[in-house]
Amino acid sequence: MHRRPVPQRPLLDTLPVAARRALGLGMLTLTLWLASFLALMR
Amino acid sequence: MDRRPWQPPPPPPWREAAPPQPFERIREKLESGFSRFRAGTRGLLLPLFTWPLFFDAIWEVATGDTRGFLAALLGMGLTVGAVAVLRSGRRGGTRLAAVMVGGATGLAAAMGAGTGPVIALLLATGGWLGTRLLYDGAVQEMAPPAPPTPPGPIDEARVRLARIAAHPQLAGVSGAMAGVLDDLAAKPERLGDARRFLAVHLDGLDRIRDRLEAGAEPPPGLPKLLEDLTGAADELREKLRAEETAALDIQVKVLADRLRQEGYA
Repeated sequence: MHRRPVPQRPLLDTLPVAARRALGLGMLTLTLWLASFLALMR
Repeated sequence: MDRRPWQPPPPPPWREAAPPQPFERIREKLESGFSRFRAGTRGLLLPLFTWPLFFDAIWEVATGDTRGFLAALLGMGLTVGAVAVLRSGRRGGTRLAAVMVGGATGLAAAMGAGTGPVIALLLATGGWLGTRLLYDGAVQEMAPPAPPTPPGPIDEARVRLARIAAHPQLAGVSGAMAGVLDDLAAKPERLGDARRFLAVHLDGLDRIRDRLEAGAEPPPGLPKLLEDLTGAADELREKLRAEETAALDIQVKVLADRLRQEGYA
């Protein structure tokens, strides 16, 4: 039986753009900003 | 397809489509303006994430902590550099920018905040992933333009010839030389035969032009010399053409023989 190949996409690419941007914003806040903040608080 | 009650009727085929309503036009203008603004300022707010590092740098200077100061500087610098890389729009810029933001995060965490290497690595990965999520596909990336092809010997000869042709007395011979160059451009493999000819003629004409420009009185032998040069250029063209003709002649003979041998003629 012939099966059509399913295009392989990274999991995050399946997210809508707005969700990806929001996730990225949150991720950067959680990392870049947090690291900076911890450096200031030390 | 059926028209729904709330849809406007289609315009009759003999009339132009209805002009867009003023409200529609204003909305379109606003939207395109906002899109342009959004694309033009893409990424500029990314360094705002590092605002604590700015005050941290001041604090580290006040307390004399070189290591912390270096971490703050690197964290801010790498982030600003990432924005520059991102906005340059080169191919792979987004990936590089994400790596730079990850590095800035890791440095700020490990050197500035003094977290362990594991936490710093986790934060760095998060910074990288966040940048990829935020900017993948957001910036139009383009490959750098291909470098222009270096000028070949024919192009150089053309430039020199254009300088020579600017002098009215040398226009005739320049025309003949331009013909040679056109032939050579069409058949670059003939360039080897004509290289010597081009060098001698162009050098000589360059010198004559320099003298004439300097105000020299043309000697009586000059028109004859120019005539000879023109004749030589025409002769070279003839010779090149004759060689082509001979080559075609051989081709015709070979093909005719072949056809006869195969029994088609």
